[in-house]
Amino acid sequence: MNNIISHIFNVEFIGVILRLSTPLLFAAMGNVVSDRAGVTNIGMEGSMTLAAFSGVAISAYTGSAWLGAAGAVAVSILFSCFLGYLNLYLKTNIIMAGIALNTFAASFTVFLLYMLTGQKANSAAIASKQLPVIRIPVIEKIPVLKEILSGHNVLVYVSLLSIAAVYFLLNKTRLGMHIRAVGENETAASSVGIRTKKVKMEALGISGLISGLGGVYMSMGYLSMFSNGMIAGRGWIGIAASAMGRAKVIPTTISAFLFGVFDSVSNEMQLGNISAELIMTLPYFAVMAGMVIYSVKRTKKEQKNA
Amino acid sequence: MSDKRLELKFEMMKTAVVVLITLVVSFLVFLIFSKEPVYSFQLLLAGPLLSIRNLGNVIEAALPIAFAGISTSLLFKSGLFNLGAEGIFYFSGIVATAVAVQPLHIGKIQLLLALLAAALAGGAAASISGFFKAKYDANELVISLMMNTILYGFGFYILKTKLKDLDSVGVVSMPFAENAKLSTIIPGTRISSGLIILIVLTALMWVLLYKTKYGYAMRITGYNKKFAVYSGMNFFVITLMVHILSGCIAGLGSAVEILGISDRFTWSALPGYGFDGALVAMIGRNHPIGSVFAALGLAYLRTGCMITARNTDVPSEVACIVEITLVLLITSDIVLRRYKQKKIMERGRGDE
Amino acid sequence: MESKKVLELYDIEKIYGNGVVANKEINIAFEKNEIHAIVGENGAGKTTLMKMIFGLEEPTKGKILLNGEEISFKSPLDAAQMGIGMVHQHFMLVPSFTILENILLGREPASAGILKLQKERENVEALCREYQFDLNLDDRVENLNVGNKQKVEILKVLYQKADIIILDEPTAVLTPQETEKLFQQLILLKGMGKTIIFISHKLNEVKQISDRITVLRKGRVISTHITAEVEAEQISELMIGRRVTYSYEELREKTSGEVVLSVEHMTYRNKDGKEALKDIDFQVKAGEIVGIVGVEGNGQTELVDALFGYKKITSGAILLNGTDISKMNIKSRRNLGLSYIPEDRMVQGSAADGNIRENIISSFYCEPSVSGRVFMKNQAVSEVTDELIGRFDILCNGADSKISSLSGGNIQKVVFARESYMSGRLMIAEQPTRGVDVGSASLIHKALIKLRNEGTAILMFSADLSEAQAVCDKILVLYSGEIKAELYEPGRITEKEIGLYMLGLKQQDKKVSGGN
Repeated sequence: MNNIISHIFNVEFIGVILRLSTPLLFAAMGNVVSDRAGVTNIGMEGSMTLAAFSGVAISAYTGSAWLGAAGAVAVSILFSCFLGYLNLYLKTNIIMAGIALNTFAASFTVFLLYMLTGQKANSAAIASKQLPVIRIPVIEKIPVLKEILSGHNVLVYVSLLSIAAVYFLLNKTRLGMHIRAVGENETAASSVGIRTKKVKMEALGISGLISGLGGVYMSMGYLSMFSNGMIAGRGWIGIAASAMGRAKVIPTTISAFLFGVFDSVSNEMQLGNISAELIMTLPYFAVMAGMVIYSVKRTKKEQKNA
Repeated sequence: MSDKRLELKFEMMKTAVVVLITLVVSFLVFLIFSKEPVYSFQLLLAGPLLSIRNLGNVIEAALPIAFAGISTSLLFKSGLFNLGAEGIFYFSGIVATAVAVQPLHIGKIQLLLALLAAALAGGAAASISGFFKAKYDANELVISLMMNTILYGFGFYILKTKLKDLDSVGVVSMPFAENAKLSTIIPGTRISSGLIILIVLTALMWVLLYKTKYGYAMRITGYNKKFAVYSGMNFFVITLMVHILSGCIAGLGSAVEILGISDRFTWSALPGYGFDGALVAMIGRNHPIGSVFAALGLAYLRTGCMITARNTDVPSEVACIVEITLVLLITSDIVLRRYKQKKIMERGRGDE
Repeated sequence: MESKKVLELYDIEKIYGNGVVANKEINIAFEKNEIHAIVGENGAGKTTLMKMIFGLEEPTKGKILLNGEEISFKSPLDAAQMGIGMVHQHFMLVPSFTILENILLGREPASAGILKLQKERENVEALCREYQFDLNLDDRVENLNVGNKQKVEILKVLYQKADIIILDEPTAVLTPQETEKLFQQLILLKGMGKTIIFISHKLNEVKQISDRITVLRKGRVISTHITAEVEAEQISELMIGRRVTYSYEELREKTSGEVVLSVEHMTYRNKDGKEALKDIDFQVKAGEIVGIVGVEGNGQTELVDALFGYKKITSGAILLNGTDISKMNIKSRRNLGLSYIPEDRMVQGSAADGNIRENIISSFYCEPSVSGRVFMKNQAVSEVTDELIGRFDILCNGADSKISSLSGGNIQKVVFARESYMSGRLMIAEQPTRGVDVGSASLIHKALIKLRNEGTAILMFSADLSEAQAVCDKILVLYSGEIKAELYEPGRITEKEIGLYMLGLKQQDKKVSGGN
């Protein structure tokens, strides 16, 4: 037990939390944007998977990690917009379309992986690039902070910046204002001439962009290759974190970190004897409880008013 | 022409067009990715029919998907978007395993116990998200997704701590007692008596949905919740019951899968049947029989792709391209929509 | 002040795709510096007309002149750019936004996509001062009361530099004090050169505020008057006019029955704490059709919801055959013999994707005649369905026709057939013939009278006075949540008189001795 506690309370561990929270944060922020426009990006799991693969494939082909990342994000944006097209213009139920697209993405990446490498498990056979690690000059000189804050992959920092970016987008830009208006009162938005479908598409595109970074991080930062099933439900966690945080930036960030912390703890636990599996379920319990409490409150309020 | 016949004719035409488009798309895919596209395409189409073993593979693969499909279609039919079958498949599998590994010496009753326990566990798990949906209108999609991971976590914990075969390297359960396994009914394949259970279940669900009062109330709720409430139907009871029933079916399907084709429990991750179930429910238009045929179709396609992969340069995952084409064409209502509209207009004019 | 025509409508006509004529031969000229009221009953075509002026619908014929030039709008945005703004009855506001954000939404000042809302703040504040709006621009709209929300809507329109402002039923949601303030504001706006188009069916208010009145009836302009030169009664008569008169006297059999429904001192307070129903007290007997009439929004919806079980009453009792049903759920109420034809047949009354067979038994599918303990008696269901299709002359391709493939009148017949099938004790019929062709309407009326003759107590809510007069044995007039009049032999009372009660211009002394 002491062993575990000393594991958790050391500075390296905070770095672990940061690294494991990064993809969840991207997924959660991506969902905040689309949720605020009134469309849940059910295809998040798929867009992250595709991005993770595309980053590896494109960087191997071009020899540039940055081109790989850019290409991957483009793929993720297209994928999310396709979901939007199906839902907004072809009237497909978004949950159905999302599930179908996710299932597709999971297999299609394996298909492409096999076509490229002859392997199905991972992309170890191709020389893909990794995004650089950043050392922050000033912090490098401070003992404890150095270990916590410096020496992470560039996308770890980008994910932290994305919190501010999403906040800025939603609250300080014209598009963000339109996104919030459309999500809250679509008729009001269209009555002042806002093209609501277009706004929703744009929100989904941005959602795809941010979540795509999460996918890229997995294969070009956290690991240096693509492996089958590597997103492992992180897209769904993003959806859950945003649902739990009512699509508000700060509460959603906290929810995402909650997942990240428990993810890290259960990672460490595998060294100890306490079952990591049980620890891992805790944030899911928390989200479930949060959702239920919210619904109970809402129902009670409605009953009082009825 | 009566509406029912027009509808049926339209559905048949639509299916034919969708299948045709899908075939063209798959051929194009082979043209792009394969060095021997014609041969690959032939194998995809005819491969599963080449041997009794291949045909057996189709049915084996279809079984769990069909159970998951029926389970999910009941929910979708009642207007509920719950993807809990995924977690239930894992957890009920563990429950079935817990019964099946005991040295009970009670003959085939052990099998019955295992099936029953798995079904009940599934029903119990589903009742949780069902209750919160029914009582408080909590988002059943997010809750069921959370439940999936929770059920997996608990299941895996039980597997590791209580059921693990200590002589084995990986995390797998002890072997099942012989009496707890489903018997093979078609020699030369691994098709188990689970097929019979599926056929009976499908018939039962069809009867439930289309012949009983409860099924009627479920359909009405799925069409229009407000109308159901106005008609005096109890939304709470219907929602809860549908969840429980769908959970039982998923649980049963899991036990059938595990006790039908394997000697021990070996899943170390969620098996993916829940999402496949949602897929076949969509293709099968949320109809129990439709879901079973969709499961068969999906299994046929995947087996065909597997055979193609064994013999050519194309990996079996090529199936996904065909699947997505099929699902999107069916769910998006774009095929023949104009045609149907025209027919309805023509008939409308004819009436006047 | 010199009057000048700003907006002229010439021979405007609007026929919808389904052949419904919403407006025809509309000729109106709106002038600068005037408040021009458009009055008419529900369904008279006011809404469609406003939608055309505001660019939400395009006329099928005729032309619109703005300051003498012909114009055509493709969207509300076009209309807004040409200086026409609309204050909708249901506010078009984003609750979590501040007042400033709501006003600027859609035309936010920004540079490179980044909001610069404060840039316009002064202009909006100046606007507030100019038109004497006492608002704090940083308040969130969700925290405002209704009156202030409306002010924000008006401000929004003014900010868009609208010279012509359409107000759709603006006083429907306001308290008398708020209404008074609104009127002062409107007069101020008029004085500053705006044209106000004021849609209402509250005649006393129209009389008070407007300069001219245009009466619409059945989609056409009946006449335009200078307000000072006409009496409210005259307008009321013009609104109602002469219509299809139904007469069913010969069908009506002599009945006498015991009390089936007794509503006792019922009060209902809505979520804003407002008493939407005040001390409602009435009875309906077996073999009697009681009509509830009133201008929309005077408590009818609340009364229906309370009787059927959607809303729980605050105090009082609802006795159905002596049993208090006020705390029961819908199923228990139905089991005691209550049936209900809802106003909106597509939302509550039917499942559009289901077929007739599924729709026509939904309220009695548990009855032994169509189902056993577990199974539906599908044969019996088919027989019932075919019988009802025949009896109500439902035009369809058989029992398997989807509801969505039927016309409005035929869907209504399905609803009516279902609700009347169990011949219960009490039927609530809410606008049973709204949006239904004359033939179907007459068929439904006759069926109602047949039910009455067979001993069912019927409570009918109708916005169509001639219908209520022809069908009902007694009419209750609801005005601002209270029963203001109880009128026997309604066929002998003039519509004009009923209209006065409905508009709150006349009130019956409470509890004139009842009795038949």
